[in-house]
Amino acid sequence: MKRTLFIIGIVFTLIFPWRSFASVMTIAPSPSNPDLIVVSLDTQGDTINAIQGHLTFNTGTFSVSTISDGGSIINFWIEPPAFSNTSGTIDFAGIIPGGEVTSNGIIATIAIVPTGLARTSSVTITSAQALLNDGNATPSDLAMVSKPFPLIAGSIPLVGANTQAPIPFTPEIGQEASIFNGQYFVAFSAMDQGSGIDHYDVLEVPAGVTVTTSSVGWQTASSPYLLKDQTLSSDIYVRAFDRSGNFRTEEIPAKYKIQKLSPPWWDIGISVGAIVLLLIVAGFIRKRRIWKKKRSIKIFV
Amino acid sequence: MKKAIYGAIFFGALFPVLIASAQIYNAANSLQVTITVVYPPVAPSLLTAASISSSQINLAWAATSTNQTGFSIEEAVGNDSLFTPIDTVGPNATTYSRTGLLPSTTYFYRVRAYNAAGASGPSNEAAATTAAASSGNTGGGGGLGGGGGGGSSYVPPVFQTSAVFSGVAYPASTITLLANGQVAAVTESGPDATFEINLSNLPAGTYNFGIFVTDVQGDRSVVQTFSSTLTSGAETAISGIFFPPTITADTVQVKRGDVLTLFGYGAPQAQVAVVVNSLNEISATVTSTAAGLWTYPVNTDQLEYGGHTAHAWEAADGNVTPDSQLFSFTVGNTTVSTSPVSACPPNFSKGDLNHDCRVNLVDFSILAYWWGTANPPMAFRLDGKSTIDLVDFSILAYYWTG
Repeated sequence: MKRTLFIIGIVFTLIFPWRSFASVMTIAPSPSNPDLIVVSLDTQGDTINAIQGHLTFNTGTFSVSTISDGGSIINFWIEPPAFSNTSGTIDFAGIIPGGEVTSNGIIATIAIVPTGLARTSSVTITSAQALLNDGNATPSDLAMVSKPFPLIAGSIPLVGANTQAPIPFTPEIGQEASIFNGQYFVAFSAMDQGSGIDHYDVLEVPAGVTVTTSSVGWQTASSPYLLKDQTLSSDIYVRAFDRSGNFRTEEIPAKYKIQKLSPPWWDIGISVGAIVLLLIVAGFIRKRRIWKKKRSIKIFV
Repeated sequence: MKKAIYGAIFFGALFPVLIASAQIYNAANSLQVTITVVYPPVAPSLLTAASISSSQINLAWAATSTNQTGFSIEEAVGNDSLFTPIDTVGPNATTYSRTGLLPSTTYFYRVRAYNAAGASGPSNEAAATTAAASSGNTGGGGGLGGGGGGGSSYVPPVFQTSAVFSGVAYPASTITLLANGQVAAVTESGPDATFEINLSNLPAGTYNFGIFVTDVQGDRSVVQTFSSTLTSGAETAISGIFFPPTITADTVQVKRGDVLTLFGYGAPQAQVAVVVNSLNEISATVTSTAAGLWTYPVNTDQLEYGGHTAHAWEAADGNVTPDSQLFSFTVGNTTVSTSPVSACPPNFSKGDLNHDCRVNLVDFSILAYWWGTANPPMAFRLDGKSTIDLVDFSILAYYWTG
């Protein structure tokens, strides 16, 4: 009997093979805006803490105008979503500390512009990984689903345009012998719920100097950013811009304040004495020149 | 199996749902919390306005919600003017006397109910015309007391987006709350291990919250995570957070036959289930002290030579926690006393690349610096392989402390 059941089981498995995936990465048109393509993840109950993807598309049908991380479940990007319209590739990699369980977590949103006559197209997930938050980075069995989307000619769609600044974030100063020759750097990462993070600016100013939006010296930067002031006596400002032009500024106050100390009385005495001495010497030289001049005139006469 | 039975017993006996709630279940960390969102109340109805004198109009309305914390009275003078908030009254009030009005003037009124989540829509509008002025009564006050008074000092209520986290940790422990991986708040639990964190400085949106507890020894629990969408102007309450215990031991290598003492911290007087994972699995249940300390002596006679792991979980007041972190130890021919190699607790060491006892953005940046490069430093190869890849970052994310 057992043997019969075993054989039936084997035959059934061979005839009706199936595979249950633990997570599903999907590329599909946005339900709210068919101009936009959304890369999303359904973890199917798994807790995922690291995601990576390499996508490809046919450059003859459309080009990518923007990739946004607005509203993404990814907290820290190892490789922020980036594209190449030359090679037709999209890549991203990032982590979620502590992991996340989600049924429809947005990873990135892609805005496209048709380049040919095709009415529909799709993006292929060439390779992708989703790792479990188990301390061993066990790979989740990942299914990859790519749904076709319509190609709509017209204006370039905007991704999540809004007036809300990026979420507050906390830049950190770090130092490690293996990078930047052990010099101090600042690390930063922000998230935005709308149009996504566009870029960061960094400014170092002497401690206590008031910083405004028009202050000179802001520099576009990426993390980790090597600090110019290695004495850590400057206030450090990091400004995160989203793609709508909103920004949020965070500050790391100077670790060490350089105090302007009053010189002691003997320093003042020495300084005054030096000035008096200089004046006397200058006066003596002038007097001697005048005397020499008068003398030479007398000789000629 | 035991865990499943406990879970079944306590299933459904969790937390009261106050107004509207949704439960989320973290399969890997098995965190079960209750999320309560307080919504604005419904608009009051049946508003009426009655002229009492040349300077007073009385209002009456019917409340249609029970979750309001007050009512806001709005007034307009004449047909074309805008409604302006003039005063607020308590949650049980259904009448209001507006005094100090001008004689022979028509006033329009409407009322809104409000709470922490925001204000309702307006009630129906009601109008009344004050009586003509008579000699000796040229307006100003009197009549029914309370209310009214011009409204010049009235400040409209401010509704802010907030989230309140509450639950049970360990007595006198430190609770760290992460929002999108960055430290958002740190608080201490009381002697009864309960805690509450109120976050009110975040914009509305969806967040990945992580929370962990550090016991009085410096050992920390696993990070428990959950996503929550904070509604603009609403207070989101995330309650019932319950942490697994910490676990460690007096040694990492024990001579076979000697006693290995496993211990850690949990909720006070909690039932802590301890499991030693080996060929012959050992499991036992112990009760933590009032200070949350639990101990369990393992007779290593029952264990084979080689590496073993142990973990724990606990149950209290009908709630069951996820599993603790794994504690690894070896049964050998000698006992090696534990000697800390660094100032940081062992749980921190794996992702702490710059040895500051934290696993955070700085360590992430250091690892990212070596992403995809040849010959990264050995110490950064968290999986022991030759390149820094997604696996190393996943391990870092697991040990994250913010």
